[in-house]
Amino acid sequence: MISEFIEELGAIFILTWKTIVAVFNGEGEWREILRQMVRVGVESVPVVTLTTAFAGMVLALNSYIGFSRMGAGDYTGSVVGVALAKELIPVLTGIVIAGRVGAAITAEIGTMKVSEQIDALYTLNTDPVSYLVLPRFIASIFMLPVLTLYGDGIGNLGAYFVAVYVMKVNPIIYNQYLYMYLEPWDIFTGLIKAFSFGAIIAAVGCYKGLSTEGGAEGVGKATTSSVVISSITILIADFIWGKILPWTLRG
Amino acid sequence: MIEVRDLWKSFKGKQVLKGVDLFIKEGEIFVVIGRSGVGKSVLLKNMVGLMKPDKGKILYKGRDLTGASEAEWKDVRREFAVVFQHSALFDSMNVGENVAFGLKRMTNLEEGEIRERVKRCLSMVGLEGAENLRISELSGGMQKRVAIARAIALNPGVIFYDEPTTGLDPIMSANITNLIIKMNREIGSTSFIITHDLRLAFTAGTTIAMLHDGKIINVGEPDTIKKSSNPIVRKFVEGIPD
Ligand SMILES: Nc1ncnc2c1ncn2[C@@H]1O[C@H](COP(=O)(O)OP(=O)(O)OP(=O)(O)O)[C@@H](O)[C@H]1O
Ligand SMILES: [Mg+2]
Repeated sequence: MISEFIEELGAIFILTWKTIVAVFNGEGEWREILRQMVRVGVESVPVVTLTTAFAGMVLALNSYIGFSRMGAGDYTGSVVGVALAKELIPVLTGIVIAGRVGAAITAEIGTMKVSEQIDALYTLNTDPVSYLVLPRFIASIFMLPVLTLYGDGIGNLGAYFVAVYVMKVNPIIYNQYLYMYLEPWDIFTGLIKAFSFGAIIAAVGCYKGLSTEGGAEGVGKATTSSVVISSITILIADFIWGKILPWTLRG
Repeated sequence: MIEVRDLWKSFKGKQVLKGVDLFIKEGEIFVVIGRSGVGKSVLLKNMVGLMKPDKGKILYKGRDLTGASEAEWKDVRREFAVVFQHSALFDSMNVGENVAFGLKRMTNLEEGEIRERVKRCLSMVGLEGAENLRISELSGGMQKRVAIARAIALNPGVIFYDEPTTGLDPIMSANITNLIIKMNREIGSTSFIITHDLRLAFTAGTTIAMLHDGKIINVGEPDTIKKSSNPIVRKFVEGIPD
């Protein structure tokens, strides 16, 4: 099971590498890349809004309860802001998009595979890597940071709403501490993570689609395993980033 | 025109092709018959470069395609067209875009010329004016005809058909059979068909070969095959149960 997972990771790396080579060979088509960006980005706004708003609200609620026991309730905003920007919003966005977009990518490409459309592409001298994988990859790596930045905003609004209107923290003090302690680097850390999560979602989704076998049932299995593998890989990558980013640059 | 020599192919220890030899002459309709699962589709995919043989050679116009690079295959595929078993039309596009796909990607034709060519190909398969239909709106027979239109759009030297009549009613099968013969005459393409539809084989075929247990066990003109004394061929042609 573990060796299979590592073997698959290897194959996914190779696909990613081929995609990057195709990008540098200028094989992408702008119109298709744009269409995928709309699909990954714009169409994910509702679900990202909902998850990040609730993440901010719940985190603010619990942080306030904990902090106020030590008489530090006013610091809620700063702690919540940092936790959201560095960890929660990028990871949540990554997992939600893995479920929404990653699954759709695998189902779409997997269906093309089992209905011989991928073979048909080859016979029409069209490489599925540049035609199918590349636009989805570019769209994901650029739209995930954008969605994350948007989620940062919504999450903090949710937190502000709960802290100020429900827990009655003084709004001026809330904002003051938030701006004092939340550094641009915290937000940037989250965006770097999101960029890598975008790569994971697209690479896993496309790989799983292209390696689908066994009819409609195979497409179902591939889709499930695409979401599972990309979600796990996102969590592992998040942990690795958590180790690397502070010591290569600054925490 | 195409020669297959001692072709072997296995999957995870399961030997599917065990030394297939074929010789296809220019302009003919060569039909390979055989039972479901004997490896007909595998044979075709090896011939068009979608699978790599474990052993053996494939020659096209005397050119050895064994171990050819992707670039060399791209060159050869300009002259090959494949009609897949399940049509394999791109369902994210309409009929016209499907037929135009190869023209846009493999030729320098202008927009207007492409539209003309698409129109002509669709009318050859009896689907004039179907450009804007969605693939999901088409019946199996119509999809097959669109797949043939997409295949002939590039004036191929060889058209490969994988089970072109499977899953169609007898009349539609007969229509597709006639269409294949018509394409062979009008475009002058060599045709390679794999099928277990004997009516198609005996009506369209100029040479028929029977694939059994990974090998070609009998090859000849339709009449020779019909009168074959080989018990396995007899059994298949007469449809005798196991
Ligand atoms: N990609 C693959 N991986 C593993 N096994 C395969 C693969 N493709 C084909 N096979 C196996 O090879 C054998 C021959 O399959 P093939 O599709 O060529 O049969 P066929 O003669 O075309 O049958 P049908 O008339 O049903 O289409 C089958 O047993 C199949 O399981
Ligand atoms: Mg088959």
